[in-house]
Amino acid sequence: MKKVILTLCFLVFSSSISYSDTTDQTWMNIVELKKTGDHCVDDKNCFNRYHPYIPPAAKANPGDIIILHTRDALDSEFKIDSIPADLATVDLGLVHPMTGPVHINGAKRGDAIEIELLDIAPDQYGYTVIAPGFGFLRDIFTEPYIVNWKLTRVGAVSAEIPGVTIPYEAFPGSIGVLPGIMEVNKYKTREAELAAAGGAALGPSPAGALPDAICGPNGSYKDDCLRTIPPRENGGNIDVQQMQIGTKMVFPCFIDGCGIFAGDIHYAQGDGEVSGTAIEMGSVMQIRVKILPGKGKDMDMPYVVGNDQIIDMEPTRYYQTIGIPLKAKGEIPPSHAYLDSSKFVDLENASEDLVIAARHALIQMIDYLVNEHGLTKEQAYVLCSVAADLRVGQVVDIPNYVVTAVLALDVFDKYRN
Amino acid sequence: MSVKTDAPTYPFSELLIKYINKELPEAQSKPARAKDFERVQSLFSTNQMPLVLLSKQNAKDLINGEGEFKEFGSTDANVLYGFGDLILLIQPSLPNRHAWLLLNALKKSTNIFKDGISPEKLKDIGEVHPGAIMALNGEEMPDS
Repeated sequence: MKKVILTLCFLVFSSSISYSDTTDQTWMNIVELKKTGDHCVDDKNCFNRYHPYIPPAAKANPGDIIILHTRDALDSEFKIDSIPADLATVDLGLVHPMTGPVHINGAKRGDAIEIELLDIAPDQYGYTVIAPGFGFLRDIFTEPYIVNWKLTRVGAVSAEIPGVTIPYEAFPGSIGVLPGIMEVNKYKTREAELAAAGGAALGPSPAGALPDAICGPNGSYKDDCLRTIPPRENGGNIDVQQMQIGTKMVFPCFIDGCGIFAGDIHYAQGDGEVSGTAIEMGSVMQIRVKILPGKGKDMDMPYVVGNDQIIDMEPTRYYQTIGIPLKAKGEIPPSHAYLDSSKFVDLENASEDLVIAARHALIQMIDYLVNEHGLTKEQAYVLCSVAADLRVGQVVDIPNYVVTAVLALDVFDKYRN
Repeated sequence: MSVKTDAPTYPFSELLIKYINKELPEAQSKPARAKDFERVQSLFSTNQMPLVLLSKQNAKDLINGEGEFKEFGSTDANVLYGFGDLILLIQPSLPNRHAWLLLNALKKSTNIFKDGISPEKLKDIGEVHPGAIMALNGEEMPDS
């Protein structure tokens, strides 16, 4: 009899367990944009140029949970065993695949849209590259190089830089809203003027452009689809690592429905992203949006609001180099070549120049990593790209403004438990 | 450029580049490994890669638009040199001077690449680059 009572008690207890499970309790209204196919060209939810006539991939209401499955920045075929020779055959026309656009019901041109970043789930693999002709020190680092990272939310590790673990501080490298026709014309005009002056501006480029029907070689607006490389007033490739989970980003809406998008997710990146890439990865990200009626009219640029996210990213121990605008006589860094200045070339000390100061700080950091930690120059440059922060010290002590490079020493396994 | 799906091409391309950079340091050759035949055809036919190393059958197929390259149609490519079963193809638009320099460098490589094949013996694969013919005929280096 005692056995029967015990069995009955167990059955009652067991059945109460199944009723107390929480999985079936849901409140989210989810709008999910999944990936289809291997690359952006195979995927109706993916595009890689900006134009107001790119049709929405989905519609969502304010407050909905929008889940975006995103692709890596180069829409690449890199694998965990990729080598530098694979980098030379990357098609740069495919940069950057974006997931969206999502039409936000009720949003109008002139409104602002607040995008709250709720979560980023990383892929298992990410990469950082040095691409010849690209990056802050492209005149110094001219050979291709790749680091393949194994990712978990605990840290990123690689065979190419052993003894280093990069903490998980993911954020969207690119996020924003579609520009309107007026904005497309404005951006095109000013960038064409810059290109004519020898500046580093890329005009529309239909090869590899998506969606093909609008931006491709025979597309209806092929000469008006903007490249995704420069960030602009509509957001895009901002690459600011403080846009962490929990922060809210606010963008002006230039078209009805806003046309929000995201992609190019970074597992981690230093302030500066100096080699040209962070830890690039695909992801599944969750966002939620709110319309701020009429607030977009007076916005010059997007902005970010957060709480303690910046504090969480600060190092507990660090090494910091100090850069001032010094350079070699006769040296013209690529960033200044378009100025074609005979005055500048012979100076050793530039005046009030943060770019030259940043180079000075960064080169010192690379030297420190090579001399004190035994890294190769390429390993050091990549480590700086994913973990060292270029910071402005001051912009008053003429002529030598200061930029520092800060590296959290905890990235070295030898300093951590 | 080599291709991942034509396995022997990448390791040999590394040796070849090392040799070319020793003989012609101004060339600053770099290895490139395409992920598949489609990328090879795309990069080569759009002049983004001046040289491609393929196994003999794939080299023929690239030129004739057959086999792995069937869906892309025929591609303009000239023969520069052979190494056993591997064929080095060159962009026809590459200046004669460059092809002349490359061929003269490769001609001297017989002690390193034992199975080198002069392009004269590879006419069944495709036309030989005019600059390479000039080098084979012992003509002076062309101006362009």
